[in-house]
This record gives sequence, structure tokens and C-alpha cells, in this order.
Amino acid sequence: MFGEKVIELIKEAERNRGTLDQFNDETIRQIIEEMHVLFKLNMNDANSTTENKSLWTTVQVRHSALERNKRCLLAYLYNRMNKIKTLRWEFGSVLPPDVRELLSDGEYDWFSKYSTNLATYMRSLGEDIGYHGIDLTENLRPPKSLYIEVLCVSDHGKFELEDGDVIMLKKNTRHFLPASECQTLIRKGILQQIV
Amino acid sequence: MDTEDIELSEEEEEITAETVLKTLQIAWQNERLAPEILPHRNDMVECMLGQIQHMERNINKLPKTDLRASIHQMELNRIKYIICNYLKTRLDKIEKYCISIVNDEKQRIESGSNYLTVSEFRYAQEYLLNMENHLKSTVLNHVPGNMQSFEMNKMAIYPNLQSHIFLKANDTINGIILEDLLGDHDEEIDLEEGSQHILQYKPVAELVKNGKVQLV
Amino acid sequence: MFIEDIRNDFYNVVLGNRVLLLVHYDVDAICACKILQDLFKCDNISYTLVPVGGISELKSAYDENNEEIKYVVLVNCGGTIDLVDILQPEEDVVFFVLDSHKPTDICNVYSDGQVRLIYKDDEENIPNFDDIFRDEEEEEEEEQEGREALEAVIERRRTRKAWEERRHTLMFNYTQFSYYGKPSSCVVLELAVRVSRVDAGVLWGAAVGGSAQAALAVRPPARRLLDMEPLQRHVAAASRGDDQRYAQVVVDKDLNLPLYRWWSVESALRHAPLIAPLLKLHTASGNARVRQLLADMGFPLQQARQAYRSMDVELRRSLLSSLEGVAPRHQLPPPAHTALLLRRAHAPPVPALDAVYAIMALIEHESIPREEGFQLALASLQVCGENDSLKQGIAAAKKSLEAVARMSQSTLASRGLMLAGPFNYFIVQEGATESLSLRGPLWLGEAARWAARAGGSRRPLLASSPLSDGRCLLLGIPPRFDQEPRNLFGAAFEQAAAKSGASVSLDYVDTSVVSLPIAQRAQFLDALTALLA
Repeated sequence: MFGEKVIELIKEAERNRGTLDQFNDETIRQIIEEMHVLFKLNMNDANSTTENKSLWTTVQVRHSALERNKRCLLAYLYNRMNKIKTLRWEFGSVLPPDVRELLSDGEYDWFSKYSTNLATYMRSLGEDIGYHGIDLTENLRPPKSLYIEVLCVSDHGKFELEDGDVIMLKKNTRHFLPASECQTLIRKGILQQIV
Repeated sequence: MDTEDIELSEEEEEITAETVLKTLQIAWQNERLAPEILPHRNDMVECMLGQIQHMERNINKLPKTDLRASIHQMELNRIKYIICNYLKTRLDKIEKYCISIVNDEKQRIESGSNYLTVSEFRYAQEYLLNMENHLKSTVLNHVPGNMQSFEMNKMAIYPNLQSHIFLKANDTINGIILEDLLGDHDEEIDLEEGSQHILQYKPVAELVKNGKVQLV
Repeated sequence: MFIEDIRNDFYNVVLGNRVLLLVHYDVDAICACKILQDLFKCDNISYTLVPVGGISELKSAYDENNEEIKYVVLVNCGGTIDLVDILQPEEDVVFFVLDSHKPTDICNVYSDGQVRLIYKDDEENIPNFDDIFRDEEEEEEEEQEGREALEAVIERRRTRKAWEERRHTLMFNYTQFSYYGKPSSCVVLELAVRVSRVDAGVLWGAAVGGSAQAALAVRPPARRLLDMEPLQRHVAAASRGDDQRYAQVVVDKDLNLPLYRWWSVESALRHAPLIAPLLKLHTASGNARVRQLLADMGFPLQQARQAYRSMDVELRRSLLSSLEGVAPRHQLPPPAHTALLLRRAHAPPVPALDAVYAIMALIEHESIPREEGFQLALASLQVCGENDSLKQGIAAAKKSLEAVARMSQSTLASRGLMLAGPFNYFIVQEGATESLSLRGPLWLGEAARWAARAGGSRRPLLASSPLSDGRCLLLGIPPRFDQEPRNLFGAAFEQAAAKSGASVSLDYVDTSVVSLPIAQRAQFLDALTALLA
């Protein structure tokens, strides 16, 4: 029955609201094929409808199915786009390889362009008064205190602070650092905040 | 929120910094609570950024253990957060309603009352273009012939101007017309200065934009 | 050198700078560390915290983290070794050492400012500078002609030899015994008082640290009282304030049975390190003795076997007095002591003693690696909030205490406690189920003390348990350790290691603990026997 495959896609998108799944290339291909099949059938029938008006409803139904498929496909892509956008704000412009696999090539292209667009915008902020842009991805959460205590969960090596101190981030060491400097590492999961 | 006291010696500068921050705060609040995108306050943002530079210079003059240094540093962090969140909220709205915003903005630019800054508008257009290309290349170019169009009007998301918001009136305003969509009974109300109401956004949209009321 | 004023010479010096905190794996160190952390957080002192288990770990932790660090604070490690020699630091790095392990190394005492010892214990008899170090340049004098020159040379050599002999004796007396000084957490408590930041968390940290010294029998009872006196004073002062507080440390009379609130009365009695060994549970009549004890207390067996919280309320209330009453009849020591408890609004009170065992179990856990256990132990000292780490620690402590009891009982029952000349010893076999719990020095020491109390004869005792990769842990406790805990095994191990040629690792901060390959254990013990005979 047409229109069923596409529901699978939508369900998949809805199932994991927060996370991104693997790009479902296979199902999309099948849906597009289905659309082509429907379209061909419709063309044939449309050409013959002038003689036989009873086929109109069939054409209508097929056309609605086509419209539906298109709409759902676009919705699926749009939904994934939104999730990918949050990736950019979380991970920065370089994605870890296991996340990169979840995106199709087309999506990755779009991600790069989005990333560049965002970077251009951020760079332009405050350029009239001498700032070299503001990184909006830095201050995503309201600051609670100046310094926070963090636990290093995996080896990271040397980390340089703003005032020149160098800290060695080894597993299971605890550090008490200014909050603004730790944000990036916390997002990457290397540091974990201790409450 | 207490701001600079000791370091800024000139009276004039002190007042300006505080008012700028207050205005920025109101703008941020409004932007977060309003369903549609509001006129930009880039002048305030830039002014505040300049203030931040000044404050940072002052803080660096103090010894590191001085209590004032910690407090001022926290203040700075908070201000930076407000600015970033304000800009991000605007970006989120631009991305969500991109088609409608780009179209409206084109009209507004011609009349000179643009809501977006130049950079924001560039961002919006680029974003729309990217999205269109992505959808076309992934799906639309592969589907049968007459389905291939990227139908802007169907794809656009429009902000829900009927959503309800809390507001506080800064001045006395007379004669706001509340439409009654279901029936015929349009109501006309007056707002006292300082009073707080819950209304639909649409009738008071203009008032928000020119500062007569403030969203809470 | 010793610093005079803990606030001005230590705290104010590190204010505004970044600090490297190196903390040893023991209860007192963790408590002191927690208090220090709270103080540093209040003043925004940036720090890096690294736990260390032994001297080699100390060196590697220092080497990895020493970039751009000017101040290093060592808690319960580094006092007994020549820091400058071992760590080879830069000229301008300052070490603040707060170590309750004594004797403090002479080079640290007489360092010219690079090593600063935070607390001076009066009980240390530190030799004078001139008796230890002699200006070598005095030896080089120009040659004089004739007999006077010869006499002068002979005279110089004689004084030199006398001085060296005197030095040797002094050093021998000084380093012969290893012992513990005032708990580091009590010293940090004094600092907190000086900077007026004493609250329930600080008091609790000091309480647990101080109680650790008592539970592990490393301080003589008289000194213990002296150590705890300022703490009790501060607790009293704090409780005189408003009484609507979320968490409060109070002084109360409590039973010296660890973990009894989380166990059943019978289990607590069977596993109490002070009482259970004397019940001689390894003998056939041990069980009968326990039952008799409970009967004398007036506790039905069924109630005694239930979890404490589900016991009859009246029995719970009378537990303290009834146990006190029957103790003399069974030749048990007085079971009650003045204890420090943490009272919280929503939870049953936690005695500091229980927290001690919980932390011990967390850092020497069967399955949790040491570093994670360290983080959990620090979390378990939290005074507010739902303390899951404490619960985890208590559950683990119960298991470890059970393992200790089982081990000692099986050793004594199977006559595993062997006599070897001047001391007794027992060996935990590889593959014994309890060997996993007894892998660390804290719990193995607990087992040794248990066996000593149960065995009756008061001779020095050695205990050994297998580690991974073919090595074993060996530690020694002195006779009459609850009265006189000065331990001579540190020096003895060092000498026996040299004599027997075994590849003994003297890496532990507490010198009475060593590790060596299992194969060489027998020859090492022989050498030790010969040495101490």
C-alpha cells in the first residue's frame, strides 16, 4: 500500500527526539521509486482519463499519495536538519567520526555550509568596534559561579589557560578552574563538572 | 543589578552603562518571549560590547584576590551571557521562520524599517539558499517531474501571532482593539501605566516594538 | 623548615596562585583534602588534585603536573622522604607538606625554604642541626709544619669520629620507630578556624579524620584525646549557635561497634574489631559465647538478627546500656566511647567511625579502581544532599569487615598464625576468597590487628596477602599496638631487604608496609627473623 514506507521514516524520526539516527538512504530510495511508479501509472491513466472518467478518482488518490510522500520526505529531512544544527552548537564545526557516519554526504555538505555561514555571521559581530567576532557557542548556559570543579574523565594532555598556566589533563585528576575556560571541554565530554 | 561604581569616575559614563544594560535586558526579555522577530537593537549590543572592554581593562588593574575583581568578573560573565543569548534567540527565530522573514524583510528594507541587521539578513538569505539546495539535491531532484518544485509558500512556517503573552504597560495606552475571531464582538481596552495583563500578541505587537509595553 | 603561622605563611601565600594538591590514599588525607578544597573554593584558588599511592606515584604525578606550578601542597605524603632529592624540582617551587607520618625526614626539616612543613609536632625529638650536618669545609685546613700539625690532624680526626658516632646514634634513635603525628585533618581544622570558615562540613571532615586515627590504632590514647579536644571545643561552639540547622556535628556517647545502624546487632557484634576477636569466634564455643552475650543483654536472638532499623524500639534504646552492663562479665573492653556523629534532618545520624570504614572500603574496593574510589570517598564526605557514595561505602565496608572476620577466624582455626622467632605472622593464601578484599594496606592491617587481639599473645605480628602479578603485600604491627603504636618494622624492613637481597619495594608512604615477589617472601622473612632476634 503506498504511503506506508514513508510513515516508517516519520516514525523513525519521531522515535528519538533528541538523537540522530543513521541516514536512512535505503528507505528514501524505495519511497522515491514508489513515487516514480505511481507517477507513471498516473501518467498512463491521465492520458486515458479523457475517455474514461471513472479513473479520475484513482488518479486523485495516486496524486494525493505522491503529494503525501513528498511532504513526508521533506519533513524527514527538515527534522534531521534541526538535529544536525544542534550538533554544530554542541560539538563545534568538527564532528567526531562516529557522528559523521550518521550523516549522508548531502547532509554533511549542508552541515559544512551551515557551519561556514554561522562562522561568517559570528565573525561579523562587533566588527565595527574592533572585536574579532563573538563566539556564540561559548556562552550557551547562564554562568553560576566564577570557578568550577571538574573531573577529568579521559586523558587529554596539556591544556593552556588564558593567563598562561598549563594544566595536564590526565584521567581522574580534579581541577578547579575558571568556568569560562572549561566550557568547551565540558561539552566535548573530556571534563565533567562535579557538583 | 548593581553595576560599576568605583572604577568609572565620570558620572555620565556611569549612567550610560547602566541604562544600556537595562535597555539590553528589556530587549532580551522581549525577544525571548515574543513569537516573532523584533527590530534589532544592534546599537545597544555594540555599546555594551564597548563597555565590556572598558570593564575588563579595569578589572585587570585590580589585584587578583580582591573581592571586587571576582564580583565584577561574574558581572561581566552575566552580561556576556545576555548578549550571546539575545543574538542566539534571534538566530533561532531567523532559522525557524526563514522564508517568511526573508520575504517580509525585503519589503521592509525598501521602506527603510528593517528588523534585521545587515549581517543577520545575509545569514538568513544564505541559510535559505543552503536549505533549498540541500532539499533539492537530496530529494526533489529525484522525484518525478511535476513534484520537483520547491514550494516556498507551502514550506514556510509563520510565527503564531495569536499566542498569548504577559505584558506590562510602560505608559498609559488607550484604544487597543482586541479582535474577536469567533464572533463579532471586538473589544476596545485601555492599559494603565504599570499595569500587567495577559493578552494575545497580535494587537500589542506594534506597542512592543516601539517600547510602550514590555513582555514579562 | 617549619612555618610559624599557618594562616599568613601558608594560606595567604597561596592565595591568588594555582596549587598542585597531592593527596595520599588514606582516610585522614581524604578528610584533610576535603576541608582544604572547601577553603580553596571559597577563595577561588585554582588547584589541581591528584591522588597518589606511593612514592613513585608521587614522583610521576609531580613530573606530569609541574608546569607553571609554583606551590605544591602534599597531604599525608612526602614528609618522610627527602623531597628535593627525589622530585628534583625547580628552584622556585615551594612545597607545603602536611604529613602525619613521622619521623619527618631531616632534610625536609632543615630545608632552607623550599620545603615548608605546616605543623610541628612537639613529640618529635628532632636532632639539632649541628649534630647532623657538619660544615665540610672545616676539614680543609692548610698544612702546618711539624708535630703540632700531626697532633692537630689526629685531634681533628678524633673529634670528627666522635661526632659521626654521635650523629649515627641520634639518627638511629630518630628513625628507628615510625609513628603518626597529629591527624592532618585536625591541623586543617585549625586553619579553617583561623580564616573563620568553620561549618558543619569542615567539622565533619575533621571528625572523620580524627576518628580514623582511633579506629586504626595509630595514636596512643592519651594523644588521641589531645588531638580531639580542639575539635570538640569547636563542635560545642558551633552547636551553641542556632539549632535549626540542616546538618550538625554533635558529640555523644555511642557504641564502639562500627556500622551497627546499618546491620543487625548480632552481625555488628560479630564484626566489631574491638569486641569480636575477644569472643574467640574461631573456636567451637565462639557462637555459644555470642548467644550468651545476647541473652545476658536481654535481646532475643530473633531481634538481634534483624536489621537494626526494624528492631524493637525499646531494645534499640537499651542497646547501649545493656551492652555496657554485660561487658565486664564477658571480659570485654568498655563498648561505649565519646563519638562524633553527624545529625541530619532527614536521615539517621552517622557516626564518624562508620564514615571511616566506608571511606576505607571505597578506596580499597574489590572491584572499583583506586582513583574512582578516591572520588567517591571525597563525595561521601558531603554533608548535605542525598549521599549515595556514603551508602555505597557502607555496603562495601560491611563486606570488607566480613572478609576480615572470616579471614582471621579461618587463620586462627587452622593454626595459620605461625610463630617465627621474635614475631608471629600469617599469610593470606592466593585464591582465598577474601584475598581480594584484603589487597590493600588498610584492610590487611585491620585483619592483622584482629588476629593479634584474638590470638592473645602480644607479640609483633606480620601479615601478608597476595597482590596481582606475583607480588604480595607485607606489613607489620607492633605488640600492644593500642597503647604504644610506634612501629619499628619500617627500619627493620629496610635492613632486612638489604640483607636478604630480595627485590622489596619500599614504595609505600607508611614504611611498615612493603611489597615483594611471593617467591622471595620466605627468604625475606628469614632475614627479618635473624635481624630481630
